[in-house]
Amino acid sequence: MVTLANVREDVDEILPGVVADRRYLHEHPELGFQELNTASFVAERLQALGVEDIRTEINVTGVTGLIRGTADGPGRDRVVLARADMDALPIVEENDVDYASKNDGVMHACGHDAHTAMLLGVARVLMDRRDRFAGTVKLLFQPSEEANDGGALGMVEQGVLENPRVDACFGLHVASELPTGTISVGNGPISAAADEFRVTIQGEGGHGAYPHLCVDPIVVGSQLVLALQTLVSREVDPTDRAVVSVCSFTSGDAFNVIPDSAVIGGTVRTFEMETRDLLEQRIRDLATGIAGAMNATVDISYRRGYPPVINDEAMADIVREAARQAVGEEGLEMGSAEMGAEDFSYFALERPSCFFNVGTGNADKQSDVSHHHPRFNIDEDGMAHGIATMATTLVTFLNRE
Amino acid sequence: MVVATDFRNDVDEILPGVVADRRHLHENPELGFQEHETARFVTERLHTLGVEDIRTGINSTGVTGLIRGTGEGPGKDKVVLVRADMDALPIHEENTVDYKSQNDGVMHACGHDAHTAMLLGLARILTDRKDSFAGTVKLLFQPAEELPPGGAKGMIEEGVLEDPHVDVVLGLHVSSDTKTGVIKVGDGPIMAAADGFRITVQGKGGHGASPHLCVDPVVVGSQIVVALQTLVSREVDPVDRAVLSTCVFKAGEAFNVIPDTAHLAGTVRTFLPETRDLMERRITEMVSGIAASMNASADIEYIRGYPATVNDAGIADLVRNAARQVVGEENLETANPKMGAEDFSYFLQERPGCFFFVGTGNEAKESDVSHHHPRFDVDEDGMVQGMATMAASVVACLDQG
Repeated sequence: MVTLANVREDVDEILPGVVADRRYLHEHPELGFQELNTASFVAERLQALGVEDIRTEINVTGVTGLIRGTADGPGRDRVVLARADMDALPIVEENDVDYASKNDGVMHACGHDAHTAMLLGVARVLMDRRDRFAGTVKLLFQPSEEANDGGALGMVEQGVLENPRVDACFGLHVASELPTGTISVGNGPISAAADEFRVTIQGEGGHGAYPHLCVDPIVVGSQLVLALQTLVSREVDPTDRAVVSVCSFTSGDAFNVIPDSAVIGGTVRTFEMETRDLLEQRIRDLATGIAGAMNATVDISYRRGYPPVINDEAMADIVREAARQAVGEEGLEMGSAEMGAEDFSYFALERPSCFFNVGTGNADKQSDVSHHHPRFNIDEDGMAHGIATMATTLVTFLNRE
Repeated sequence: MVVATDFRNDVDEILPGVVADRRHLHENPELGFQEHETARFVTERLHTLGVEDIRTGINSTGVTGLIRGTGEGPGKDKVVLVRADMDALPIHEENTVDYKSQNDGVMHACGHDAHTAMLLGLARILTDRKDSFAGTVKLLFQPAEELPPGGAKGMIEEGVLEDPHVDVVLGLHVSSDTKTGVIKVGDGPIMAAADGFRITVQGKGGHGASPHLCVDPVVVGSQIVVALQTLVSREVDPVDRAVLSTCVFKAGEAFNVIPDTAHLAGTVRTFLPETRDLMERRITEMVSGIAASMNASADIEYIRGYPATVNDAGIADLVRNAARQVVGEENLETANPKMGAEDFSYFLQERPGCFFFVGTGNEAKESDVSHHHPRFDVDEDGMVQGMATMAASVVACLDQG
């Protein structure tokens, strides 16, 4: 099988350019579905590289392009997709670097600047090595991974997995909790489904000294908060995993007036569809039942967010082999399930896929701060491992028998 | 000797003037500690009547004056204090009467306009009948009954119960949930002590999908709300009475971020000092204990408000007897303890006395709407029974010697 020989050397050569791109993007962050400047930067770079069939404004700001290998091989009709997300977060950056955000209140605090720059780097490596593979690489830059109605679903709906038809999808995420030089690849469900619920408990307000004439929505809400905690501990199969967090509880203004209503809101994380269905149903049952038992009524809204990312084991094996070449056996970790959500799941639902994590945590460079923190930053050296692993993965998928 | 039926006739005669005064006050309501026009109006009326030793500006807007009986009797050295409150509420009146509030957003929605007008009416009757009783009547108009810490406490601190030394204190309240023509008198504790509490639960915030790295203040707060309900059901002597209402629960903003803190606030109503102490101590113990057991901490503030209003049984008997003569046995009812609070309690802590209720509820006149409602109004006919009962009670207290 033909491989990308010396991929690490190729990457080392282009790394300064990737770092420059990443810093430019970091300096000019844009919120989800507003990545206009980022998208035109990406499109220009792809054009300069000679990437074919560049399409823009897919689901607002999404961009795709094709790199066709010129070698002959079993994968000549295959298409493999590599995805990066482009959006930043509504966070005021507190880093004191010279490429700090110039867009006040917006910050690349999750590393999507690096994802975009790395995928541009992958494009450059593969364009230079088109003679080493057969088949097609589809590059995909998506808007708005962070917003609840993420960019991926809309791009899939607008047909990015067809024309040409995509056979497999790969994506990566930098991880500040993983040391630089580490790559983590998991099998099966690796990120959770993230759903959101809001329960409005309608009691009957009145004077705090006349509780018997009221239906106290705070007591009902508190009973519900406690009861919800038993869903994970008592109703989810102990070999499965789930989280139910009530993150807001809002009721009342005056210390002596029993309010009319209480609103509680929270998040539900699951990995299995049956568990997801179970929790939605049981949250509805508990809210309705507890409220009913206490003479209150409820209005429940349950909003399904991103589904879980489920890695295909064969695709994960390809990534693992590529990562082994990039960081050695000692740098390869088995990825475990994380409760955070990621809309790469919409690609993974449609095609065999693998999403992996690239370590960029380095205490010396203060890049081990948690994601979404105003002092989040990445160790740019980690990008070399990410680019090498991704490029090798894509070529391996196309070139394998 | 003057008898209650004489007062009935006197009251009928002066009622049109009392109604006019009440409507003037209703039209010009003032909030607590801002009753400047009301106090001036009161002072002018007292001057015109020839009330002696008028003092103003007591605890900001309080007014007192003396009526000295010129008759002979055992009470010639005795002083009976009669109190009215003057303040209105921050409520936008929805009544369409021609004497509706001209002070937008401020309304006499609890009948203090009637209390002030009735005490001026009482002053007129007693001044006219000075020769038929011995002893002194001290008229007291206080600010801010509705606004804790209330006007009563400050007036006492400024010496209104001395110079001359007051022996007995009397007060009344109109009541829209009592039919016009009915007087209610109770023994012992008839209104509750009203305390407040504020609790800040300090947890540790974080991502809703990583509960194990957080201390969830919403769950701790809910445990507290539910546990506090057991104080009344399990720890207060069942023959005693108490209320604990958590009226505010505020925590979190985002549906997927576990907040750092939760804020709870509520009210506690009790009748006995021991129960009040118990509630304060047990709230503090329970909240700190629950928080500590769940790895959180709690900051607890317990704010003592008005004490319980406790009638002297002997004075209550005199009032009952007076009421019986005014409204008849069939219209004399027992005032059951109410969970509302009243700062007349401060006078009753210092001197024996009685606080009683005068019915002004009349469905035909739509005056049976609850107190503090924007459509609250009084059946002015009820003021007749109030003034006559009060006049007869004052004279009975003086005659008692």
